[in-house]
Amino acid sequence: MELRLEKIQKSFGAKTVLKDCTFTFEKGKIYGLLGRNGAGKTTLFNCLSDEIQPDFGEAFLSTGEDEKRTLFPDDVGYVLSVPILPDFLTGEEFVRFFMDINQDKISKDLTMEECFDIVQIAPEDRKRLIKGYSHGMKNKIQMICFMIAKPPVILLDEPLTSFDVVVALEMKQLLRSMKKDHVIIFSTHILQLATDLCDEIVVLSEGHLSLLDHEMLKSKDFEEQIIELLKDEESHG
Amino acid sequence: MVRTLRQLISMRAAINANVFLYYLSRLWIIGKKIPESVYGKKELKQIVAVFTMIIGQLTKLAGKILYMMIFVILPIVLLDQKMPDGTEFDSVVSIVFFLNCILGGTDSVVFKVTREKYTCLIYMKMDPLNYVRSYLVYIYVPFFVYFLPCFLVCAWLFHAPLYKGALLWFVLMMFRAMAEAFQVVLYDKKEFFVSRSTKISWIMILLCVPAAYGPLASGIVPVPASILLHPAVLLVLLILGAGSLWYVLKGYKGYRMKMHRTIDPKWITSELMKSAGNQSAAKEVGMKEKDLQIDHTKDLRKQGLTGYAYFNALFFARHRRQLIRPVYYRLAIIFVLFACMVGLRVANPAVAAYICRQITSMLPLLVFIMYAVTVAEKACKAMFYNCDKSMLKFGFYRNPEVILKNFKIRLIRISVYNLIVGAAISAAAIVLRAICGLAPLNPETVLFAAAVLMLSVFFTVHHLFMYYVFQPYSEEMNIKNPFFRAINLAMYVISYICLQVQTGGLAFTAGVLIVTVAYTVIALVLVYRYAPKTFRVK
Repeated sequence: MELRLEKIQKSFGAKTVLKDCTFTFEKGKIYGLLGRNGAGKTTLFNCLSDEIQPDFGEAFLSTGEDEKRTLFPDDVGYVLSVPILPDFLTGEEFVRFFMDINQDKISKDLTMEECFDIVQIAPEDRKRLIKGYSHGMKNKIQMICFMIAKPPVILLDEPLTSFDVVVALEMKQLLRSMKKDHVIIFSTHILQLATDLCDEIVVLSEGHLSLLDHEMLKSKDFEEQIIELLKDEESHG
Repeated sequence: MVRTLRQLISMRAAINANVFLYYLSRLWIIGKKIPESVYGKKELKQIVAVFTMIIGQLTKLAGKILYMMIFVILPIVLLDQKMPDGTEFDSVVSIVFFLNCILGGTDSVVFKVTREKYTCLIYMKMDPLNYVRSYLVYIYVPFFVYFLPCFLVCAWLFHAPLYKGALLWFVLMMFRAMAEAFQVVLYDKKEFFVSRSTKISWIMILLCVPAAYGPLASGIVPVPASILLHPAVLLVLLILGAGSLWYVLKGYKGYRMKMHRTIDPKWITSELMKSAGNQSAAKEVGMKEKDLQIDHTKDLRKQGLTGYAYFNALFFARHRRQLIRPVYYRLAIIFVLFACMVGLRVANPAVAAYICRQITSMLPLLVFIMYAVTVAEKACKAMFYNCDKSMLKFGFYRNPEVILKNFKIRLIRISVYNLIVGAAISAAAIVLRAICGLAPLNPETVLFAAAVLMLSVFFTVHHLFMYYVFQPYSEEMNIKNPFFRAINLAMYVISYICLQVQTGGLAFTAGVLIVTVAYTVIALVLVYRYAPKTFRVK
């Protein structure tokens, strides 16, 4: 399975944020979307998750050479940089509700309790209102949703940046364990995080997406090269 | 100091120019022609800055003139006949003394918190003493410059020598200097801000306003020119005022050490107003941990509820405080009124019967009452604030079918809440008629009951329709949509006009029935047609 972006464009007023985003993401890999602040990472994610409409272009899911279909909003699991969940439910109730409405596509191999165990939310916390949850716990609830519904595409907008070291490590391990069934793209502007977790690094610069060469990833002066690449954007801009 | 003052003025000018350009760029049609790069055009911005500065100063001058006209000259003209001749200027002196010298003195420019002050002192580490001096000049120079002509004109208008106008101006300056110094001393010794105490503000208003106008109404001028502008008084004021001025501008050495402690951003006026909306929303419809404890949701699963039915049942169960309690209050009021009527029936059967006969003609009043008592608007706010605001971030929740499914569940649920109130009103009316010996179910009463029940549904549909089609709330709970405001205002005006309709009668009842049914049908059609597209977080 692949996620194909074809010529996605988006402008806000006179400012063109996404110029011509064409790229193919493959299942089984974690992609780090690297870009400077304001490069358009969140805009691209919002276009893919149907939060906003692109001005031009489309995203497709393809399962074979000639088989492709439009990407629907419910194909995409989206973790926002600030997780947003309904305050009035307990963690357990939210997950149960989520399981109810995704009954037809639900994976039967995991029970709700097992999911909670995997993301390490303690039993007493499962029965507390989400209102009182920490940032990390809310993100874990969202990860549970992905384990249950298994959306083909998972987008994570600047995750891990606000986690403590323990939760960050747990989340990394979780993402690695989940990658075989999904296209996982996570945006960040932290270079270390991208190189540490990702199989591929995609740079969003001047409104275009480009894949970094594996050779470059291995080279010693990788950081300098990336910084040069991203700096170019400024000099052109 | 001059440099700081210049920096302050240019900063204010730049902010004003940016704000002006920003709002210009948001205007319809004109806005589209203004490019983003306009903020970088130095010369243009200088022109705009000068222009906004002039407008700003003219507004301040106009404010002073308006103030003098409304609060000083107008009352004197109105009270003219009650006062002895030739006391008009004395009245001006007296009013200015109570309102401007005393009441105005509770304000403090030294401790005023503004965004610029925060930036200058906290971020830019400007010298606090320099800042205070410059800011006092920046605020008080125009303040006094604009008051001088006002006082002179007052003196001329009420046939007093012009120098007396000038002396009054001098008195005001001295009082303000003393007030500022007093507040600095008070802060230094007790860390207390007079200007930030709402209690003191209210006490001063309640004391000074009656003192300014009360005695004048009975022909007495408590503080005439002969007292306040007496040379001895002026001399004392000069000494105290000059001393205060020296203390505030030079003598007090604590600014550097203490000033930053007085700049709590929560006192920034615009911030206060901005967060007020959000806070009130949280207060009105926000969740509390307590809501979970008074919960009756344990057997929801056993009742066989799943999916959205389960989700909505949980929502309503956790919002009993916000949604069901108001229904109880309304029922209690209806019951009390009903009990009063029963009491009246016992005490004076004739009057009770007369009132009962009139109940059905009170429908116009009921249109307004039903508008006022509906719990639907609050329910919509609670739904947005505690539920949809976050749930709409999920793709599955924005699915058109899901939006309409939830709409239906909510419409039924909230209609039931409102119908309970409507049914209670109808039942009370029918039972009262029976008690008073009238036919409980004549055609008029049946129509009345039908109209009341229909109105309960009508206002539910109205608020839900507005919520789903316009989705007016932003994440901060500000209402962003102008159509939403306009239609809501129109609905209020129509309900209010109904209140003014004197004759109810059959025609009116029938009219209400027709309008409510037609509106409900149209609103539902519009929701089913547009809500899947419009129901979003803006």
